[in-house]
Amino acid sequence: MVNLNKLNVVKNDNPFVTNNPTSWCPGCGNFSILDSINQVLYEEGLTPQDVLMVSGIGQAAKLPHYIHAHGLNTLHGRALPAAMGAQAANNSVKMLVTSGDGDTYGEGGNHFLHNVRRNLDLVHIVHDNQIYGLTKGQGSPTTALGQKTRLQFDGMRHEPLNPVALAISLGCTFVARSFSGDPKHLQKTIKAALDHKGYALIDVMQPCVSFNEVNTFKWYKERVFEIASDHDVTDKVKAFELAQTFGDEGIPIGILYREESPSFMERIPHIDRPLVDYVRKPEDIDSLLNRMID
Amino acid sequence: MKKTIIVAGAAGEGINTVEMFIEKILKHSGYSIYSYKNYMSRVRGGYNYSTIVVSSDPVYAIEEQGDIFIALNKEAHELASVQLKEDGLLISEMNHDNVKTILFSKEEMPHEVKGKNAFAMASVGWVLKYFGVTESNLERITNKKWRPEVNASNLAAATWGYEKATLTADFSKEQPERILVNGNQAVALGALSAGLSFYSAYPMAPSTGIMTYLSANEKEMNIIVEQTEDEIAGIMAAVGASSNGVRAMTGTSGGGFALMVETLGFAAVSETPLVVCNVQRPGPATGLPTRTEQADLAFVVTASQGEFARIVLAPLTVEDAFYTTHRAFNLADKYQVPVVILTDQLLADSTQSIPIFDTKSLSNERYLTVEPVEDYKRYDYDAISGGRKYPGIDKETIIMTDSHVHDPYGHVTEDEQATVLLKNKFMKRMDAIRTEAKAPLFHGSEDYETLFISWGSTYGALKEAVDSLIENGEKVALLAFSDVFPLSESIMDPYLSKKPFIINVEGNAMNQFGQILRMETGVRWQASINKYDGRPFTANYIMNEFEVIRNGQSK
Ligand SMILES: Cc1ncc(C[n+]2csc(CCOP(=O)(O)OP(=O)(O)O)c2C)c(N)n1
Ligand code: SF4
Ligand SMILES: [Mg+2]
Repeated sequence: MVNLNKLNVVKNDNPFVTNNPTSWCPGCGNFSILDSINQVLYEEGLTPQDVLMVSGIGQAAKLPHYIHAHGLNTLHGRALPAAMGAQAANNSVKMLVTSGDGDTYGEGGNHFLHNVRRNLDLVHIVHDNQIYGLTKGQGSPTTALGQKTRLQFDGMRHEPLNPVALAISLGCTFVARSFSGDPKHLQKTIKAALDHKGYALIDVMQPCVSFNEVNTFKWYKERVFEIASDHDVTDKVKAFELAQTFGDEGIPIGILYREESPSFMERIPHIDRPLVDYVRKPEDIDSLLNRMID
Repeated sequence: MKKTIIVAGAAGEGINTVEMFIEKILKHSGYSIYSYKNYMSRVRGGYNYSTIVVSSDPVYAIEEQGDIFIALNKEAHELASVQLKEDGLLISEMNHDNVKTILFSKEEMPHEVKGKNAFAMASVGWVLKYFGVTESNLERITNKKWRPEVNASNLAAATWGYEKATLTADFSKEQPERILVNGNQAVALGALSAGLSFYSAYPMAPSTGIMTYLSANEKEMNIIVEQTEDEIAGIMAAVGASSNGVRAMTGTSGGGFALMVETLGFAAVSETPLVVCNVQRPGPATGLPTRTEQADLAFVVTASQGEFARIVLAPLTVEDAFYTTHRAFNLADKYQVPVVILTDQLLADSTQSIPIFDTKSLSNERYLTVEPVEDYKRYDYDAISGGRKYPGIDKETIIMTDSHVHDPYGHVTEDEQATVLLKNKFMKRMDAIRTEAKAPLFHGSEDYETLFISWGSTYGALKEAVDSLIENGEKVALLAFSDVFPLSESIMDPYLSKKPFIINVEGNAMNQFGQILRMETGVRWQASINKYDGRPFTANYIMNEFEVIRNGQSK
């Protein structure tokens, strides 16, 4: 099980940790994701003032309220465009996005496609519980074909979406998978994602104890395996192949794919410091106006 | 004195080039210019025209018919008889049976003049001479971005046309320095003057010009212009940027605004300053992409679920679009609310020669609290305006921006008292905004018996109509509202003591502003003049309708 005691050891001097009550169900996989984020941010030597947590709406998306750092809790599906604007305004803060599988791949699917293309410099942690938690158990884009839910009484009629394969095919510059039941692995993965310059996606298998009766802690535990150390993370074709493995064949966890590529702000070279630091005054436009005189 | 030139043809045949040179050089020579583009939603072909009004005094609207008509193709040539006034002149490559024609036939043109643009440029030359422009000014017929050969052959053709003209009507005036801008550029410049840093939007006619202008000046102004995947992202990115300290804006037309609606409420509940420009075109749905209408007002003032404070501003003229946009940013920061600027295709695609914008008269008020504060409450229920902080403004404060009902620190709460306090705060904000709103512009005779009510761009044609009616001895005046929502209950009080006959004038069928005015003040109109054919109001149209109303009254 999740070794919460070990995390508690550092809780007292970790400035990210709060005692805000959560509205999560006891035993939910979200707790260890929160603890792991707190732990890694602390170990990286960051302060709450250095970090902006961005989210949409859902159980996962409540996380920014449970961590002592800047927060931007937006609308269902809309975390990424808000993150993009926030990064344009001030890229001196470290940005993490926490959102659910429905939030990210369903309601926000279009934003996911295009912000991966932008290569925003952020860590995107998807709490993938393969279900809609907050709205009490409807199927999500990652719920398995045939799986019965509280809405799909005869089972899901559509093929599930494969987030990691999708991300690799989109050119995402860091694609990983982890498991909330393995905090050590999760922390290692978040740390690597934080060190990556560009869009780092971590699809985290997260048991929803209240509404997903299939993908339980035990179900994941029996299937996850660490990606072999000789996997070449720069080989896109191999990574895509590996990304096809899911379910009873096992669920590979670790970094599937990584590449170096200029990030969003690096592609806007005329902005050489955080945008928020530019001093502006009305007379700045006089040069444009004078040109309009003839 | 005033003359109207119409340049007509298909998209891609040089209407814009002809228009640009005529406007630029006539403005330089001391004329006032007002022009409007009437175009179809297509890239090539179709029937498009630009109307350029040239006058010794400022112009505020176009006329339907021209004094001079430049026909760039056969279809235009044939329509000249409809679009010209009775004594109008046609410039064409062919003779016209029932219109007086200045003929520039291909055969007549000397060899060195015959280029692709020869006819168009010869027409420019002819027009310039007609308005008394001196020959030395012909050299302004160059564009630095074009190849020297193109500029040379354009100049040759223009000189040839210039020499062919004999009629002159010089009524130019000594003028102070003026600029030529259209409504979209004025909005963009207003935003830049206010310190805009980030503009995120999705292309949609007739609003795209704002983004294009900003993008063209992105490096010089050190800003970021981002084309987003859709309008939802456009507005949400602007909120993300604004909540992190920069002035941000998005722009669209009604269809895109429909997609932005949820985030409008997010900006309001998270108390994030936001400026959105909706350049209206006729709806519903795709409607008429390149035409004009004022039919989004009712939608914009109520858009998004729940109750919250917002500001809706509708600039009256191109010049006003600049100053109103600048003001929009200060208001958004002061009250931490969304401000919607409602313009329309008429304003967006109207170019006017106006006094250079006075940037010295402006100041950018951010209403921020820069120093750290003990126990800072970002969302203090009593703070109606000001006191804002954003992440990184000081080295200590942690900022939470949230879409739920929240406590004073920005954290989710379902407490009933907090719910009420937050709502009360929004309502108090609305009251403060009402008090601060700009009074409508009054224009006309002091002893008016008829009072016209208008909002936004309709002011231009209405002003010209009122001026003409007064000249004809009528006792009329107009009120033009730029601050259209929220309205204070007493806003009409100063204008009603003489119990005027009220005529509501709007570019829609439902009298949307008239209804808001009635709802907020209890004042109702007795008659209305409406236009919803996708084309702008003209003074003539309003005067004719006024006549109809008057005849109806006396029956
Ligand atoms: C526009 C909009 N549509 C629907 C909802 C209702 N809603 C909130 S969260 C959610 C789905 C949550 O699922 P997921 O994103 O997987 O997050 P989880 O709760 O499982 O962590 C839905 C449908 C909403 N808040 N806003
Ligand atoms: S509903 Fe599921 S995901 Fe949400 S808190 Fe409960 S267990 Fe966790
Ligand atoms: Mg989920």
